[in-house]
Amino acid sequence: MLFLTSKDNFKRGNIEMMLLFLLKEKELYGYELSQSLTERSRGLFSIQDGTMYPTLYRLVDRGMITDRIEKAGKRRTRVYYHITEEGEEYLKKLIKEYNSVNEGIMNVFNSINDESYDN
Amino acid sequence: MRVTNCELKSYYRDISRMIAGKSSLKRRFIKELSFDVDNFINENPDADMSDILKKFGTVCDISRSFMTNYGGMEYCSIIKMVRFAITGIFATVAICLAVFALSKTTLKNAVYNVGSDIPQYYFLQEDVDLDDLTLIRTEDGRVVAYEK
Repeated sequence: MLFLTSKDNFKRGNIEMMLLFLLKEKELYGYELSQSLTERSRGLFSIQDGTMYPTLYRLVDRGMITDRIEKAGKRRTRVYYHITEEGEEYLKKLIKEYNSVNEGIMNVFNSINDESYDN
Repeated sequence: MRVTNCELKSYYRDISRMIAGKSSLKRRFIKELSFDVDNFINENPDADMSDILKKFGTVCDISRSFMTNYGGMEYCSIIKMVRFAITGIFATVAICLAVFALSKTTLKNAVYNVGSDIPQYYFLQEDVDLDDLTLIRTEDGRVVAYEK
């Protein structure tokens, strides 16, 4: 499993992309988001919750997502995150960039016939 | 060994100390994180501190993530502040030099009002000699010039 921490250069853009993608489907709170990411990636990725929140807060600051506080029990509250229209546009842009980078990398790999790197 | 409340408190305290930024943001973060940790412990009652660190990140990981997301902005505002401070210092020095130069050129024809809160210059006519004046310090500290 690959742990997505901020130090990985896999990194912020891709974490943002995946979080926004999950939020596009329905609004989720932090714990659900990280659980959902692990499940959807079939256990290949996991994001540490503690490192995910700064990314979420920054997306809120930039207007890509909004947050909504809901009571959960007597004293506790749960914060749900919801993607905005601007966030959806940004997500499209991120996916486009990702596909372009991915295609470029695959083109380079395919230009060399070296079977030792095939899975 | 199961995680104890003491370990968790220490974890939250260390995170709070390590994160730079607004206290409201810190409070909000610790609140959300502790909520998630509680969820995790409910689902995994035998979880120990290493499981918590693996799932939620070490203090260093979290601090680094805040730096990555917010550090840039803070760095920019620090640079702006430093620039502003340097400009302010240069402006103050320039004004002081200008005032000093002005006072040097006019002092011989002026009586400096020594005691006042706001420095003032009383310019005298060129043909008046300072030796012809009597300087008296008033009760409020001002120096007043009278012709002898």
